[in-house]
Amino acid sequence: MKYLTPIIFALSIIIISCEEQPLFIPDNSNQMQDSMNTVPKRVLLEELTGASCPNCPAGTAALESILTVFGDRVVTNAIHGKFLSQPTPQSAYDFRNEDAEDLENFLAPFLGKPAAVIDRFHFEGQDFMTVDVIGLWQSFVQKRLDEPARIDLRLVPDFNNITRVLTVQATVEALEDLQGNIKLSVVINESHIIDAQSNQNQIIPDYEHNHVMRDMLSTISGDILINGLQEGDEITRTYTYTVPEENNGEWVAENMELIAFVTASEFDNQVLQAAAAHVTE
Amino acid sequence: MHRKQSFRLLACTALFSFSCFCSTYSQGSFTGGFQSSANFFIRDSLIGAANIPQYDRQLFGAQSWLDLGYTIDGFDFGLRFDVFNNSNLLNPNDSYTDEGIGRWHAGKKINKLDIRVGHIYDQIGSGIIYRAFEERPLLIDNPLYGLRLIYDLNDNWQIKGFTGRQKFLFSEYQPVVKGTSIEGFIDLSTEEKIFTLAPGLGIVNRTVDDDTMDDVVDIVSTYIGEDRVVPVFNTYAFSLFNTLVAGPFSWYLEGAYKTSEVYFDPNAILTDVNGVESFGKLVKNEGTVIYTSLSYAAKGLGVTLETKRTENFDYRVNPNLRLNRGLINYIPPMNRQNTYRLLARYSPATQLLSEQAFQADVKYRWNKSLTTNVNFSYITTLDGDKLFQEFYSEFFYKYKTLWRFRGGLQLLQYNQEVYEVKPEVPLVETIVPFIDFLYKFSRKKSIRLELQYMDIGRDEKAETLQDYGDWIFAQVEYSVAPYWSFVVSDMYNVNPGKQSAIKDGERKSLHFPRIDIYYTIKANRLSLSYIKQVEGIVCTGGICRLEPAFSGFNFSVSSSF
Repeated sequence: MKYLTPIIFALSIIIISCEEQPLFIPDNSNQMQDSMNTVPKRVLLEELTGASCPNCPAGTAALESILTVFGDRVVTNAIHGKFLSQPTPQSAYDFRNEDAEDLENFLAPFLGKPAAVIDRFHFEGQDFMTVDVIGLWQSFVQKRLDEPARIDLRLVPDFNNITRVLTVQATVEALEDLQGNIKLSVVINESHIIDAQSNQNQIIPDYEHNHVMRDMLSTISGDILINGLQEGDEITRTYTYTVPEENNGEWVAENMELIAFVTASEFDNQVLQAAAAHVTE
Repeated sequence: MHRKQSFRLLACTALFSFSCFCSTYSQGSFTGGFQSSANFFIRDSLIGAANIPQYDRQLFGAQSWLDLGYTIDGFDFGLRFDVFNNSNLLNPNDSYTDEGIGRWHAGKKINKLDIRVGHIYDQIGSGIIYRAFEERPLLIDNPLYGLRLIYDLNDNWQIKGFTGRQKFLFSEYQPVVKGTSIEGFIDLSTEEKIFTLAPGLGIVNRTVDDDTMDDVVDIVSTYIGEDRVVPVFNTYAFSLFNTLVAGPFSWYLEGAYKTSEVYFDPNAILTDVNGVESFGKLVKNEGTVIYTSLSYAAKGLGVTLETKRTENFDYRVNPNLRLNRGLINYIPPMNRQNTYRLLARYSPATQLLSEQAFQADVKYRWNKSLTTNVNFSYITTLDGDKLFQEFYSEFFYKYKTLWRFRGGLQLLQYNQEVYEVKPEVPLVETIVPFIDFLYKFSRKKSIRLELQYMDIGRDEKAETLQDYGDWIFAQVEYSVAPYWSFVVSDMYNVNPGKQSAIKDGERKSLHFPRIDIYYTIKANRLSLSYIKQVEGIVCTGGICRLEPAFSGFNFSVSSSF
């Protein structure tokens, strides 16, 4: 017992004497980023989500914040794959589809939902390419936006309202020399769909679902465009897709968006450039 | 091979070379154990055993651990080799493959000073401010990778200090955890009465590394208004505890306090730049836990009363870690740890941010043959929302060595919204009667029968039974000691509920059979099982996770030497 008092006293001194300097927290809540480059880098954010995922509205809110902050420099796709994606008891629609399930598997592993894959880049300190800490998404998007654009990607859609045939020309231009396989992926998604969504311990009956992945025009892992590109080279690939007839508020052409992105094996298949265009533009 | 793994291999080789060198001079003692579990996955989408890599393409997954220990001349060495091949233990919805040295340590006691380096399992008090431990069923293995010193001040008092980083799989988290404690024993007993005290004081500090802090700052820098908090690098947790024994009474009391730090609160509301509110954000608060347990044991009667209050005590190496990852501490559960299948179906995970819990347990041995046990536990949030309530009663009757019978009843309420984050479900209410009868044909041969029935409440909104509905469980176990044991069981969804499998538009009553063959020879135990298992909560010591359904074969081996 005779040791107790001096030990407690010594420990208290150590603790009390340790006062750290307060941190400065920058305000990144609403910073608009302007690129200094002629061709700005755009970032792809693939959101793994689901109608029965109780934490996913928080992820979607974070995604919308990112779009508010960075505008059209962020291209998004909401993937309703297998996990927690089944409709809720109050759902009118089932957003799952085979391509979304395959893409979710392709982007796995992930610990849970919501999770985001940002430019298919594995960030330092993360277990996987998927990032399940929602709060980190914005800073990771910022990090990728700071990367130089190595490729320019332009989309020119053409939609026939009568036949509902959509043709899209995707043009890839190399801004520097690139080695290895260059792949192009093209996805069609739909926004403004009002349907039920789990939210913690409740179900929101009239939740607005945006960027819901509907179909993939390319293969899941992307179509190989070419092996290696020289600076200034251009390649154009055309895709044709027949948009299904409108059905009970789904497949509304005005709400549909094409997104495309280019990956390169030289950069571990991370996304070098992304682009989006409305179907009825 | 990673550089770190190479270093570990080198260190272990050096340690064991050293131990062999010592053994040429004196005789040491080698101990060890081996455990392995291999799953063969058979897809069954009807019960939900599908859509993970093991069912879709890998078909096989396994995990194994080989422990080796050697003590000689006051030295203590240990080494464990871990193998995970397409294992679903880390994440039940995914596959994990890696292998290497999962743990090593070396230690020596020099007079009154005990020195240990490597991976160190330890705890302070009941673990409320610090516990480094292993729970293989949940793949929790979080020893501190560093240094520990223990000094014996005298026969009854010792002081301990440690520093290191928490292990995760085959690497370590970057933040540093260090701590100290002093624990003692005071005997004030007289010839007539026992009266002892076992007081202790512990302090644990966690210092966040720059990379982790950068992530935290990146997150809070996107918050606006009142949501924005200023994180700190250092967090301190203090604990004062004591066990008082006075005659037949034993009273344990522990109070813990954690200085203000940033942690993730899934129920806190975050307002983003668009004005949209969503659940979950980093918040900053102090934390407290008070835990006490009073027990009485005399003349066949055993009574234990426990209570606990937890507020904002999510203490992790990194506030961005979730679920069971990165926890520095362990808060004891406040409910009965059930083992029977249906009785254990709804178990509450310890709540780290808001929990008020109470438990009473009374055992009475009427005579050599008859024993009864009654247990009651009640858990709410600090706001008074009910989380869990269990009333459990059993009686046990033993007739010579010929047969024995255990029977009882469990009444339970379980907040599935909170524990499993299932939206818009009512408080699950179950009534489970059970019996367990064992009959011995001879000294070697016996048969055991288990029967349980779960009657579940109604989900009025869904106009059906809650969760998976009513269940019946039956198990027969035939043992031929000491080698063989054969077990056949079935869990049948007798009245399907809201979550039960739907086929052709109808909720199905499904069977979940299981067949096990166990073979034990000396210190080796082998088992082969065919399993169909429904989705459920798996808990060990109050730490739980949702396990998906399983369909397939399991082969397990465990050995000790």
